[in-house]
Amino acid sequence: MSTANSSNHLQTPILDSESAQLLQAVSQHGGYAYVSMAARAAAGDLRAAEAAREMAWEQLHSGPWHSVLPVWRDAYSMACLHVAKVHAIAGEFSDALRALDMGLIMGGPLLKPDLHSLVTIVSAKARAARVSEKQQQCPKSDRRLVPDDLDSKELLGVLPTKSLSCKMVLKRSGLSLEGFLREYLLPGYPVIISDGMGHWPARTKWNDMDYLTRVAGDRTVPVEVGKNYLYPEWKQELITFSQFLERIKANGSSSAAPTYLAQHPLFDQVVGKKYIRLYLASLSEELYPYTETMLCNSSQVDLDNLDEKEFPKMRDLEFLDCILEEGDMLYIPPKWWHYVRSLTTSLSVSFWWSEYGSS
Amino acid sequence: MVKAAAGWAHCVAVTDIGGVYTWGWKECVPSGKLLGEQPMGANVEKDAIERQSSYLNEQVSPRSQGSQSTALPCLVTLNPGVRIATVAAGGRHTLALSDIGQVWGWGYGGEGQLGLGSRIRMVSSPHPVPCIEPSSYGKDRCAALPRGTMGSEGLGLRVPGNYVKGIACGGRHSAVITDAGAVLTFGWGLYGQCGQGSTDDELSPACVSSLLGIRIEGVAAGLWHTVCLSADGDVYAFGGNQFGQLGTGADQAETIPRLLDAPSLENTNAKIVSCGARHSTIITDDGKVFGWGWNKYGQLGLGDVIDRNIPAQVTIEGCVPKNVACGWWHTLLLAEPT
Repeated sequence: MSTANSSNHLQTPILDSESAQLLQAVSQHGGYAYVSMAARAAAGDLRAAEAAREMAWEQLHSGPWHSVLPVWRDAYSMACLHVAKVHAIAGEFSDALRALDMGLIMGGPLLKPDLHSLVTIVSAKARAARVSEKQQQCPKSDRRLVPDDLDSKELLGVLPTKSLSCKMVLKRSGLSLEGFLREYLLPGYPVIISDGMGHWPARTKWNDMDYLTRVAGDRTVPVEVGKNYLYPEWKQELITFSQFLERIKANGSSSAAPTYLAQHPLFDQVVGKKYIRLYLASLSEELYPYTETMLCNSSQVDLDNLDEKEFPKMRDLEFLDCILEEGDMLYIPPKWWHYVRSLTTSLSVSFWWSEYGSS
Repeated sequence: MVKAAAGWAHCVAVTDIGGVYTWGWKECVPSGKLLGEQPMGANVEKDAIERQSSYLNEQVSPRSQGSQSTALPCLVTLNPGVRIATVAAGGRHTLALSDIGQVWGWGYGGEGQLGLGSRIRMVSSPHPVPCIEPSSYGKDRCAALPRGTMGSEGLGLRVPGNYVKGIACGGRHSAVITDAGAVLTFGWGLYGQCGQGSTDDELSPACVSSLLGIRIEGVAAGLWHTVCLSADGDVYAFGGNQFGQLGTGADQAETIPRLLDAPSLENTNAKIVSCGARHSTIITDDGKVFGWGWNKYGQLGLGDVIDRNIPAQVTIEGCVPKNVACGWWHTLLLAEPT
């Protein structure tokens, strides 16, 4: 079973010890074809490994999510490990990483440690391979993700009406943790902490395409394509981080189908600028939330094309807004409504947390 | 054996005297006694089994303990007098159509694919699927209504037809057609594969109202999609379309039946339809074969592994196609030499 990895350092101890039991469970659930493919995959047959992965993928999509049997998630990871090993042995590191990431994203918990350790090993091999390749290439000119600062006045033109004309979110520097807790977190009031991330290496490194590509270019990430998830053409895709970077660099901030990294109440602006508008949590009728339960935390109002006839209560609502610049951290209190718009290509990090014991 | 069908991990076959054998994944093979309403004499059951067994000159194979599959066919215990004419196998459920047009189902029913009105997880013996309400037998009112008044499904409209004449099982949904040409669907609906204009599961057989007025003669179902053929030879498809399996030329799912208007299908009438998990095939009355959808393993028979989202003609030289049957990831074509 482990002939394929004996000559390499692609060790998968959990796969090796759990395979037999996992395959028996798959067989119990009717996956005879998977089991026979997996046996050939373990012997290094790429086509069989891909077929096994395809069978497991199909099972993950063969019914409502709650009815998908957990064993098929682990079977999916197993097939991803087989596919990745064959690619890695052939020196196809990007393909191997793609397979491993898909296993991490869609697979079950059982083989996660093996997937993670192979990611580390294969990433190192890929970097080593790239370094020897790079030595023949000449350096590229501007590899910064966000070029020059844009004119703030020009930006105002693209924002919803009344932006930056009323109350702004207070920008505080040198705010102590105690001060943040007392003045903002406990009363539930938004604030921008402007010098809290000066020490983050990300502020310079994340604006360097080469750095981003080097450390994560071959990793697969879930992205959201489309203005936001309320639009019918909105979809989720899995692409490599390199593809994502190229896409956002090409798009700038004025694209028909913008792409976002999936995820999003500390909101840390690492690179670029974002406009953010906040409405009080207590306003809800005035913001016309969707009635369907899945979307009841989303407003039907499109601030970019505000229809005052349809949503009359919207016009005179008070709000707080701000432009989040590189290095700013914004605290959004629980349940505040927020509208976010990127003004430049921008990279942010969001932290979600909840008080211990609350839901 | 006169009919056979294969699902994801099980097979089912019909004998010429109306008996049913099934084998494969244990979950799909009925066990235990019939759950029928009417009490049954043990002798009757024994007689029925003996009659069939002796005819086949083969003993019923008891299912081996502990094994997850039955390698040998098991005889399905049916109510006395029930003779099955044809069968359909899905992802994990089975439908059987009797010679009097009644539908029986067993296996997994978690999304309503057995049409029993609930999310019953396991039905371990054949259960009648209520497709045509008893009160509507012989009335056939709906078929006489003009088409414009249709669409108010659920408002006391009766299903046109007196009996069921065709059945199909998809991954987790089912479709049947009545003698009057109406289509009923039930089961998993997330991709629109029930054709009801929604993505809800249908727990009981529900008439596909947008097809009322069109006489449907054939139906087939895949993992996420359904394809119907009309008496005029038109093709209607609905459900998931990630691999082009609807043949509409796009990749959007359709929650109501969509008429295929591909140029390749002009001036030709579809007669036979079959669906694999993610592909579809038809045979036309002038002997052409078309396939579309997922083709990663060459299941479209086009000599390549490129998916098609419109019907593509399969060239077969020197023979006349007679029948087509898709497996989960493959296709079988029955042909005669010219």
